[in-house]
Amino acid sequence: MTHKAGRTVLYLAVLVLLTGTLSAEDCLPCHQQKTPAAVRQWEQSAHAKARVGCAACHGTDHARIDKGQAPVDLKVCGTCHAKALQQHQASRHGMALHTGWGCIRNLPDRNMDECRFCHEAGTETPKSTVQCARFLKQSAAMGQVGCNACHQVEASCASCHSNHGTDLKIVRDPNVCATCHMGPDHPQWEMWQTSRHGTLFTSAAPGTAPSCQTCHMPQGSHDVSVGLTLTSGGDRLPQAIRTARRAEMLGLCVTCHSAAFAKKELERDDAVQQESLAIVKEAERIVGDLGDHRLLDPMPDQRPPHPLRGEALVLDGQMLYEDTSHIERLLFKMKKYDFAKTIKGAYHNNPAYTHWYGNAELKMDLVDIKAEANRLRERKALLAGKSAGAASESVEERLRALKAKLERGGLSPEEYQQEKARLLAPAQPNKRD
Amino acid sequence: MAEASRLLRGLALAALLLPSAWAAAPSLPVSGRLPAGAKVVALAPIEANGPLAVDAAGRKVAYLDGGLWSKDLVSGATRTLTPDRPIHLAWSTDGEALAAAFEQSGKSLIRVFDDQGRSTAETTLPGRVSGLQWRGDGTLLVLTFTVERFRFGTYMEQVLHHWDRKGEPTARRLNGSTLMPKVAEQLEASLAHMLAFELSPLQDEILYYRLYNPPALKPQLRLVLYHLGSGLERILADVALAAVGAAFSGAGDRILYGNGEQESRLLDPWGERVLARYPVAGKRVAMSPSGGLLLLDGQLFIDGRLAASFPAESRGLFAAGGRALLVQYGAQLYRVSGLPDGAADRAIVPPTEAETAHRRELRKWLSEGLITTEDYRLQEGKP
Repeated sequence: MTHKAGRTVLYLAVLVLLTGTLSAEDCLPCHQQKTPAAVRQWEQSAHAKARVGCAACHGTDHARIDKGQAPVDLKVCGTCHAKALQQHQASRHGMALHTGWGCIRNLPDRNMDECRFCHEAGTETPKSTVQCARFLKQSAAMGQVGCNACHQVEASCASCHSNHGTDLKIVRDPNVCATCHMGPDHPQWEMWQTSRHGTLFTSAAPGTAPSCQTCHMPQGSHDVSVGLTLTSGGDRLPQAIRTARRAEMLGLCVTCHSAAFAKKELERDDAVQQESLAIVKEAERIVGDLGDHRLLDPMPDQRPPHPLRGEALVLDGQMLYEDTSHIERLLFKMKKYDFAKTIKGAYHNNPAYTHWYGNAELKMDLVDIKAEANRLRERKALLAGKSAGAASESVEERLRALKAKLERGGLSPEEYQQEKARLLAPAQPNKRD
Repeated sequence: MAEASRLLRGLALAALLLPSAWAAAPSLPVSGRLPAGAKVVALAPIEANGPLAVDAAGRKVAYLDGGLWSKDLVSGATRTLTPDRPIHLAWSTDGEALAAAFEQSGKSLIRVFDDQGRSTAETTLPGRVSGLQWRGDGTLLVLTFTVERFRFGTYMEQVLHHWDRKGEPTARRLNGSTLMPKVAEQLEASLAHMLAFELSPLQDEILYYRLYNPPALKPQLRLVLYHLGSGLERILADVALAAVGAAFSGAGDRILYGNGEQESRLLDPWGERVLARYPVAGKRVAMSPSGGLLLLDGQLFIDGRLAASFPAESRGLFAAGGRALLVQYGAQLYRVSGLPDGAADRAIVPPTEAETAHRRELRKWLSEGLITTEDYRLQEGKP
């Protein structure tokens, strides 16, 4: 540091001590040395041209900034970019953090500053009741890198835009989506890249084929849910929403294709989704039934409790891939990886993802699940000292399985009453088949 | 030694009260008229707040009077068992053994005496005993509690021990709760009597109390029905701290408790229906095995109607299938015999072993929510 710069720093330090605050102009001399890249990006940004200085986003309380208590989150950006904020919050990106985070209060090495992501500052009032069991199972380090790095998109415009740059080239490039929308659970970026759309985008003249942004952020919209008819778990949204969303997507398709062609393509993809969902549901029924009859190895009450549901068997969106039984782990892969690849592959027009990475794996998963289910049933018979074909349950065991099935929604109350009456009809509690 | 001391005290008292002592033997005040044929007899001097137990046949009674005594009600013979002072007593179902719980600086000694007054088994349990009950197989259930004080609050835990009189007792935790420090301080001395428990006649369930001390509300007792087989429980009622007793009827098909303030209730075994209400606080309750006779804070109800009243502060125990009622009032124990128990007279043939086993299995299913009370009633008669 030069003698002159040293004097400037000293002057600023005295100023901070005297006033406790900093003005925007005061930041540059120091930060040109401390964070030169940030300053350089800002100097080239639209913010600098519009004379939006550091303090406009960061505030002037340097002590709070140093402690990480003055984050530049989407609320800060939204004071000027209200329309983008509104669109973002209404979209799937607007709930990304909710699905990626759970309460961290019980985690070791927790960072208390992180409470603000889910709670109103200074209160225990949650912004959302949505939690994620898979996040709650992570170590603090894994949670940061493996979950928050993507799911922070809800609260941070910088996730896509970068921290200090405002160049729209960054966010108009499909690569900006790739950081998160790739990998085994939802490889949309790879699907697009190797689809007809993606290959033409790369090989032909710009504008020949659509990018991620063309279909999912049309005309610069921040509502990334435009045209999506499924939940993030692959279930259909309610009919009214679906109809409106389909109309939105068709409206985008017809800028290149005929309406009839686009409609037919999307209806074919809907059919793939329904057929694939039926395979998943069949597997879910098998695993649920094994749980009802206490055949899972280990059962939920014989392993660490689920972070949100305790000892319940969880097969829905809060399903875990760790501390679970082998057959549940197969079902997890089936749902989270292979079902997702099938349907997203279909809607992204990628034949290989739809078939070989998706649907074929899905069907092979079902084969594995059925085989494992048979093994577990035979195991019970072996443990009971019976031949495989002679496995039977007492009335009590069957009543317990029936109740478990009702509680997980596998039976309606009416069906439960009928089944129970049938079981009790002989009224012989000790009798076995 | 204890006998000599008792004799000396008796002589001193006699010297002081000689004129009146000659004039009248102790008598139990009775309001209203006892049923024809009923008779009250003074049995023995007894410590007013000490433990009291009578065997199922109504032949033997154990009580505290300086030390621990037992009395054969048929022969009139008394026997001193120990000069030590137990806090809870229970006769075995056959009346051949007496279990007593003694406090020993934060721990509890459980000792079993035979009918000759010899100690035949003993064990030590952590915590303080709030109740003990015999099972038909000769094993003992003992409910204990511990209170841990921390700078920021108090934690109380209740544990049910099962002891076969030979090996180490097994333990299962029934409840853990936090108490406000002031509440813990005020109640700690009386918890051993407050947190009593009862074993159901089918020996598959217990009724027990836990202390419920939510923030900003006054502490209460929570009456809980706990199934020993399934480990599941249901909360039957929240009652005032003054209500310290609940009872099963002999068939296990009724539960009697008082709310400690203005009402006592008779419930069906699942706590779903109130079968009868009595305008009595029910701080001390007892019920004959048939359910036909109730004693609520000294008021004797026969077939649901108030028949006679003993002093409200008296307490009673039914024995001999309801034919005998032992009443402790002040420093005296009385026996009221010859009570008509119409419900017992009407009772049908006792259930067979198969019927009892069937009923136990249904009750277990019920406790787990596998069947409803309606299912139970439909299945009860179909072993």
